[in-house]
Amino acid sequence: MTSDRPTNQDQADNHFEERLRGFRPIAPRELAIPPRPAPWTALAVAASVLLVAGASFFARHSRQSTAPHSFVSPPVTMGTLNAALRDNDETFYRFLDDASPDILSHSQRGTVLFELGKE
Amino acid sequence: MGSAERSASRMKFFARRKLRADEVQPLYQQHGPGLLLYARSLLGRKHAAEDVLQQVFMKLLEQNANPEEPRPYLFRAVHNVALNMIRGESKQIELADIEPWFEAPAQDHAARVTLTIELMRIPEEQRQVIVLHLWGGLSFEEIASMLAISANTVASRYRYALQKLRAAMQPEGSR
Repeated sequence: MTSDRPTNQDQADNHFEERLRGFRPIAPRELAIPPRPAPWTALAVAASVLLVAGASFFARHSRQSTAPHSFVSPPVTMGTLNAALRDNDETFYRFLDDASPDILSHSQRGTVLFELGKE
Repeated sequence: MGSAERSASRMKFFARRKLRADEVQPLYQQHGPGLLLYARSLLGRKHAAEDVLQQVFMKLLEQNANPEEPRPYLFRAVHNVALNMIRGESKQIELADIEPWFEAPAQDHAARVTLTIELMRIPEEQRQVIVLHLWGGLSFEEIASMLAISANTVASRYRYALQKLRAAMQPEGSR
């Protein structure tokens, strides 16, 4: 016949377990958690990048629009050249001067005029 | 479903979100002493054990999930990291490293040193079980799942450990 009543051995074990539980493990040192960047920091970084990109785009755009070669000269056709030649030589040569960068670019790498222009 | 499987399924992760520092700190406060004791019972050296805890909690902060049941998860994580450290350094607990693992209870100042030494002396598998159960608060089933052994084996290891400690810690006159 078995009994559910605790034996002396069980009681001794329980008592000893309680005694052991009375010993409290030493606590570890403080947890050193590196600070995580706040969400607004990421937003600020993104805004700065956008600002710099926008500024650089604006600067490039404004430089291009003020560059001399962006001057829009009238299209050179045989008709306009004939008319200019009939008026006077000065108008005719001015037309040719204006159109020449487009026709024979000396600023484009690889062209003969570019190579000659370096010398 | 077996008890070990049930226990394992309880330890699965919710893939939800990262834990914040203010959520991790209370876990550290609550389980830190038991985890440190367990790490020291495997490694011996206090600094190495504390490094293990730091690693485990940093990982907990970095991963994009949080454990459903933190206690078994944390003990398992400490177990794995400590064993990796042992494999890497091939170090064993040395009695020369002894610093008490426990705060002194008011009535039992010298006993904490004795307990530390006796814990170091018993076989590692018994030491693991008794530390995890008594000071880690894990059930035999949870320990069985963590160590991949049966709950009966856990129970018998626990009994052996308890007997040895009790014999060693009895006052001289009563042995």
